[in-house]
Amino acid sequence: MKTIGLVGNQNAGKTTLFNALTGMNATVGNWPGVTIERKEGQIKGTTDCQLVDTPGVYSLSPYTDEEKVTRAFCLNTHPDLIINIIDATSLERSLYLTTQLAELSTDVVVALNMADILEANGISIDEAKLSQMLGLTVIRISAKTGEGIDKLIEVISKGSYAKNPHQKIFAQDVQREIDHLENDLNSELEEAKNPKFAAVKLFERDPFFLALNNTSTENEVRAIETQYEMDAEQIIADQRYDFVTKVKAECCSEKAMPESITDKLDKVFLNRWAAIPLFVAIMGAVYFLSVGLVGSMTSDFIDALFNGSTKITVLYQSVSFNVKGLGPLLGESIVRAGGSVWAADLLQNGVIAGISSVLTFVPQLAILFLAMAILEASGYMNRIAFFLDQIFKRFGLSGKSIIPFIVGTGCSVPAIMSARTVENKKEREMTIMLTPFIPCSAKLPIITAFASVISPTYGWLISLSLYFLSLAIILASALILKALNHQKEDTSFISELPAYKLPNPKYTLREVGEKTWSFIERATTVILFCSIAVWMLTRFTWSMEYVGPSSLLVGATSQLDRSMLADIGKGIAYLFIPAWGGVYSWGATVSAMQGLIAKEQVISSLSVIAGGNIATSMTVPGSLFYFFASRPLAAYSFMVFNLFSAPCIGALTAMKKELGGWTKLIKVIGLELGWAYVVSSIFGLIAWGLAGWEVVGL
Amino acid sequence: MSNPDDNTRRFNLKPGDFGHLSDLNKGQKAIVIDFHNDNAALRRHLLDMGITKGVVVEVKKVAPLGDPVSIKLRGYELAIRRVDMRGIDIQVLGE
Repeated sequence: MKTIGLVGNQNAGKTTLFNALTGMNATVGNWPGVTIERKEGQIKGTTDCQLVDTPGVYSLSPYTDEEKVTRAFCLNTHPDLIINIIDATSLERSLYLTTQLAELSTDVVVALNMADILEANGISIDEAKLSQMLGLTVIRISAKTGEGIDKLIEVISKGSYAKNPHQKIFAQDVQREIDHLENDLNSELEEAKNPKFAAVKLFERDPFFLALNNTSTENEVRAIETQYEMDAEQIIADQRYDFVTKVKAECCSEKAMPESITDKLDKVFLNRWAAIPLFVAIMGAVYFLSVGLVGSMTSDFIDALFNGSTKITVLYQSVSFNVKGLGPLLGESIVRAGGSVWAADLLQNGVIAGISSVLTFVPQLAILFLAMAILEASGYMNRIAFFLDQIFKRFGLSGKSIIPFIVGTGCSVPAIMSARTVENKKEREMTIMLTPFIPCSAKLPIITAFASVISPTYGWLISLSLYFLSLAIILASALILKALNHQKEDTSFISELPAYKLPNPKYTLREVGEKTWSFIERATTVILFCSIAVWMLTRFTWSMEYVGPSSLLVGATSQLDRSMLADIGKGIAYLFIPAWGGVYSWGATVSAMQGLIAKEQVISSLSVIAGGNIATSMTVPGSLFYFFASRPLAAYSFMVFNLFSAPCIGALTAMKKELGGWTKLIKVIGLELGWAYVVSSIFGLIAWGLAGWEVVGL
Repeated sequence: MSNPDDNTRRFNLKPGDFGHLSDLNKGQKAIVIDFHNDNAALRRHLLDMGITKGVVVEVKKVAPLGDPVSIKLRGYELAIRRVDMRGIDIQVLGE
């Protein structure tokens, strides 16, 4: 099996080419660093060519953690071939990396990408000349339209590419010193496996190659530095760019072009006055479309299909809709077939009620994921980072922190991983710690369910207020963390501002499909398991006596407060009396605790405990959770607690990995639980005070 | 040549004047003549991004709040904070 690495700049189209070469699905994005994990796939039409995708790099001297991954891959795993994808519209910066790859002991094939937009940019490139000057095989492709892909595959599979000639590109005196260093290398050492590359790094005094250091050459390098009036690092970068500039001058001609579309668009999107209002409007439109429009059209309807109803709310209008629902139908048929009530109850109120409470949110989530994917792939996400940097840096964050925050409205796990693009370690750690405060998609069910209990008409305003509250908490936490870290203003923000691109519909839809599917998968695995466990714990006593409903009829008697979970909750519930607005409720307490496993579980658990219909249990006087409707601020504080308390197990695992240890993770959990308890208690105490300090449920 | 420790921004540089890249206004072009920065990793990164002696740069876009700015060099645009451009000595070019 041959290992082939795909290496190139960020935004060069690597992920799209990876998809085109392997036929596999992968996310396509425009902000730097969407390719975080190592992706592999067999090249189409071959049996022994394994393609490995690498994070985008501008050089083999890594600056971010992601770039270290690529360097380690190129140097240490000895791939059989490297496909260097280069963006033909920014040839100089792309070829700078090519000159470094050509120093490795690996063969390199250059894929000259963006062939489809060259003409529109007034650029023409002579690839035969380019190939001759680099000494490498160059193939013109368009990863987006598929042009040249077959030829690239043919060249790879037949091995009909030029062997790496190791061209000498530096000025004579510098090259002589580098050759000298190469001859002196101790070939036994791992670092010397790519001798040409190692020699240049030694010349530059790269700390990664200190093991190879040879003091006798130090004076010679110093003499060259004096002669050029630059340090060695600068001399190398300078001469690489000299070579690249010469190549470009001979192979490439550019026509003067009228103002580009990107510049025209940036006049609007980066306009001094319009940029931030536009950003707020775009995000507002995204949430209105997903949560407001699609959400209100579908969630009640889907819920009715699973759990039955007589009327549903569509677009904030009550519509008559009489269905039995899948759960009640299954439950009834079990009882009719002579099955026991507990089995019917397990299916109807454990399994179906649990899963459906999550599945009702699938349509609005899919729309949310679609909007995010478009913002990302179009290049607008880079602009958001660009114009928010000035605000974020005051709080010890980078403009790039906005990317994890926005991704975090979908799911904290990929969001925490996408924080790797933030270069500065402290900024990155803060971004990771703060991301879970963003209301993720799994918290949406909590928000929507409670917002409609507080006010059926102005529910969306209540949801919006929670987004602002989370923003306030994020900024306040940032200031606290900044003070704890003794952070100084020595961070930086360096990012390419890529040209705007029309997202590829095929890849965008695939990405949305994958994300939506993984949400559904969670609902049917983790959530199903938890729902059954919760059902067990609420329906049985410690001596396994069934205390669930005596029949499936509405109003059937049950003794859920004797169950195992009730006993556990009754102990902890004292702690939450202030947070729940003066209410002693084991049901609300154990449901909030389960948010630790998965946030979707909070609503599922409430509905399992309430015996199926959560809305009725909150709105009909005398029901288990009626206090949420009678004390609306208690409902609000319950939401607040669930939104800001520690994230789910998945996000905690991702955080531990990215923060690199328990100490920081425990710090984050403490911070989050602290915020959640304090802020929810503030609202809770007001609710309690308004109710005349009367304690309900004791 | 400009004093590397003097970090106050100078406005209204005319063609032919010397200064730091961070002093330029939107639309101004300049040639890089030297580059020093105490942060070795940042300097290395900027070298890799193509900020070397003799390269021509143009301030293309400024973020709505005044910082960072987007500079055009070597056929692409680089977004960077003004504070990170202080160590880059330039001479302003004419139109």
